[in-house]
Amino acid sequence: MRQLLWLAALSVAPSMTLAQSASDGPELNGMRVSPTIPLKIYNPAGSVRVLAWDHDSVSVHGATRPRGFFFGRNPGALKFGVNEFMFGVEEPRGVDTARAAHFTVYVPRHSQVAVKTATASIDATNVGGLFYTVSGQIQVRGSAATIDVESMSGNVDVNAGASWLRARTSEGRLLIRGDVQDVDASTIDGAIDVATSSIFRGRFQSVNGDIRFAGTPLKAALFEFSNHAGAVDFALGRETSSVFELSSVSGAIENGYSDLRPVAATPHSMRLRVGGGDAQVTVRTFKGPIRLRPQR
Amino acid sequence: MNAQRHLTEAERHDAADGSLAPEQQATVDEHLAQCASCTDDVARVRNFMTRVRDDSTHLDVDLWPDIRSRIEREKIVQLSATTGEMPAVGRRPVGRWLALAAVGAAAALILVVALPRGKGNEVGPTTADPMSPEVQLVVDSTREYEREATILLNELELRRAMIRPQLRSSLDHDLRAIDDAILELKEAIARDPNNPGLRRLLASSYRQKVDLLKRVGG
Repeated sequence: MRQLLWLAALSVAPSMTLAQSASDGPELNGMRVSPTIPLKIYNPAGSVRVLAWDHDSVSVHGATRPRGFFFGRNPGALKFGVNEFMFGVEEPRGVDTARAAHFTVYVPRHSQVAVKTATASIDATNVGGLFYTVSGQIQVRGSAATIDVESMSGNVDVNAGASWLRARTSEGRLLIRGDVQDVDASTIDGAIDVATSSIFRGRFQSVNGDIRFAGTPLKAALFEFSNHAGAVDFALGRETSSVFELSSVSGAIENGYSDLRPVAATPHSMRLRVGGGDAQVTVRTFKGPIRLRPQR
Repeated sequence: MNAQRHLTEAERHDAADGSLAPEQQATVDEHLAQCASCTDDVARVRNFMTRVRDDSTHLDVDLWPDIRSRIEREKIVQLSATTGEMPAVGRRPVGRWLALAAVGAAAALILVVALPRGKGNEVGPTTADPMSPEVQLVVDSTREYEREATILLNELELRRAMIRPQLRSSLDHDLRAIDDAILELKEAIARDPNNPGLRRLLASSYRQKVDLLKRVGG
């Protein structure tokens, strides 16, 4: 009988909801919501930690209840027949500086969140939706259907499984890892680092930031890289099977595969087949260099 | 809300344009009765909206020429000569939606066109046919992006004072970086007009500009 109880407990364990921890602080507010409810979360300064759980409710935790805290349905959205939930901290007016508030938020696994901050960092786990900050850091982990990340000057680290990822930064560094499939990423000055071999379709662009790809393109993958002044750098895995179309107006093109001769080459362009040539990778730069080399 | 919690941005705007839900009206009125800060804000928004909506209202000073000259100074492409009238702010933005729809269509086209087709790439000196249909599509979508960027820039200029300083300086820096890139690309295209690779890079730069402006605008 005792064994059966243990087995029952073990079988339940994986589907158990995420336990709230004491370090989250007391619950500031909580409410039952529908499992797919859109949630808007605002916090100008401090941090927001968003975690998915298997309850149809929202639970907001924090050490203290910050000034300007609000929590409830969005009356503006209700007017349009949208049942939307919003909470967070109001931005101070005038010359007041926002005080740092730190939240941990538990949301239904399939809810679509929109988190917006000014300087506050965002850390999301197993939650999909939009994550926006002006200068905070963003980290997205776990898995979600779609992830949309935007930052002006903060760094972004996506280490998640998602069928679709859109990521934008201006000066911040953008790091893409995990099991993402369809990726559209761009920066102005920030570097883009792609360290995953799971992408089926990817578009990466920057103005001045370097773009680095380390991995093995999937067979039948389709990539497009474009950069104005930054470099585009590939460190490719041994199993790479791809055709590379490389071109630059005035940047250098370096082929680090000493044993591979380009199929076609001019001073400003090169067509190179690595392995069987299954994937298709197009790279265009204006004056940034393009480098291709095998991973050591 | 209560005495401690001010009206949200949405509530202030709804109060100003009289579109509060009936169940909210009483509590908002109650708050306004005891909160001078929110009352001032609502009055300010109401006043602003009245001025913007009322086509017959003319400002004593025509601000548009100054705004326009500021935009012009930071732009690569000059606005076409117009009467110098104020843009139709506050009217239903039909033109903007049409432009957005057109950009959407153009974006779809550019995706089709920009994806690799197994041909050689063409950023280097031109070898392509003069203005092939493929290139024409890229040119068209560039124009749409450019038009949308202009609309967004104009809107942003009107709201510039409301943008937080840190964001504003970051935006200015980024716009300068993109505009420098656009300028270089345009000069290169002027020397090599039939180079499809250059045109794709230009479309890509405009797309980034639109993205950036939307990011800040949103």
